[in-house]
Amino acid sequence: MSNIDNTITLNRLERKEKSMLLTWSDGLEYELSYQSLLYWCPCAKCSPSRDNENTASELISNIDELLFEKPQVSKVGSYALQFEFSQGCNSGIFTFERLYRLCKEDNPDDGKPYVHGAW
Amino acid sequence: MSNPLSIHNPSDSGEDSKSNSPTAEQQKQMEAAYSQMKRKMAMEKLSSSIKHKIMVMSGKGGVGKSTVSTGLALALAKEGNKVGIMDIDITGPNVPKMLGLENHRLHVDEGRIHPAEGPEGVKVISMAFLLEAEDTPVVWRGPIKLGAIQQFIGDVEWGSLDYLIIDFPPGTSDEPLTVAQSLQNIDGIVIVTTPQEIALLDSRKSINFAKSLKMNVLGIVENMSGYTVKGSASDSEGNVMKNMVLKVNGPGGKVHEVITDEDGKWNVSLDIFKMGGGKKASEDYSVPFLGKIPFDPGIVRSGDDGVHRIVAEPEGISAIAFDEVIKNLKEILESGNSDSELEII
Repeated sequence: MSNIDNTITLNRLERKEKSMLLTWSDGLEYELSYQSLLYWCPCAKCSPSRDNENTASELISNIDELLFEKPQVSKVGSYALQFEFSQGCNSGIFTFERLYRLCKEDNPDDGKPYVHGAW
Repeated sequence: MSNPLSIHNPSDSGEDSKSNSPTAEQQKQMEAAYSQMKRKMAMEKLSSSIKHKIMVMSGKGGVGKSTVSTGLALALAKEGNKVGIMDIDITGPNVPKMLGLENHRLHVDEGRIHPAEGPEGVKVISMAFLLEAEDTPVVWRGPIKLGAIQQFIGDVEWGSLDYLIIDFPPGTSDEPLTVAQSLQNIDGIVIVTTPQEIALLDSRKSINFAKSLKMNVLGIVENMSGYTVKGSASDSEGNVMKNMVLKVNGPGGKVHEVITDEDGKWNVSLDIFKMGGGKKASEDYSVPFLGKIPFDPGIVRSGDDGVHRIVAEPEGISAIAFDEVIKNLKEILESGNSDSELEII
């Protein structure tokens, strides 16, 4: 697990058809698929689905059925981004730390089950 | 008798179920979506029409956040800046009372709320303006508070401002999070504390809140920092006693030695709630220390009377202390925010 260094910032986000290219201030570049992004959605509805194998595979198959288009991206304060897809969940607020960890291919939940109310 | 629990079917009432015209419910949803969109656009516009947005927070109640918020606003306005205060303390709003705007009612024109105008031209918006009486409680859950805060941000006609001071209730819950999410380009947070350890401990939570949300901590203000006792010394015949050493018993059994001046006058600052804790917290967490506001009983009286101490006594100790705080605050603001702009393609 690697906590994001406070000095690392997201410099550029390029939306593509099925994925987005994220460029970080430490030089890290990563192409994150929208499918992967939605799987790791931190919202209260999606997060518990990742807690056990059955619901996790159901979440994956639900995401697989979606037709992805370039999402709308909006900044949430100075700490996170929110993505608006034409289909699928739009509730998750992705902190920059979470996005960075996804780009590092870390488990952004630290492998911990979802606890309602914990942020 | 019709079943009271039956689901309404338009064909039962002879309505044309194939009609394309929206139902009343759909119409309502469309209007809500439209007003939400308008509010979002207004919030984005606000980010550019207000140069500096400063959140005033504390981890603990009763440390004088509203006193500091109003003090900062008035001290900045005195210098000729255009200043607004947004009182986000939904359940305990007291900024209007401190600024003598207690019975003011808000003016609404074409769906836009016009803020009240207080001393030095400071624009004020507060939940207090919407309450029937000052003892009316606001008993709201989080989502309703969230809506009200978004209205304060998006539906208020602030115009262009140099500074917007946002006064919060104590703690790190719904209110600061909502503002941090809704308002872009916030300069940062001013944390108000008193010198005792319990307040400092809670201030640290505010510092960590700011860090979690990638916001700057502009600095810590130590309020109620020392109480100055003044007097004059004379003998039994009324002669001035100059250059005399006097002993003053302070809190905690501490004895202070003071020397009278040529006119027999003396003064000493007593550490009612200890002293220097705010500076220590700032050093521990590597955040700036903006200054100390002395314990000034006049602040309490003026808060109750609606004439702020800075207005009533512009050269007084509180006004001088606030001038020092805003001098430091402006230096920090001018040093700029090093956050790089995110490019989204």
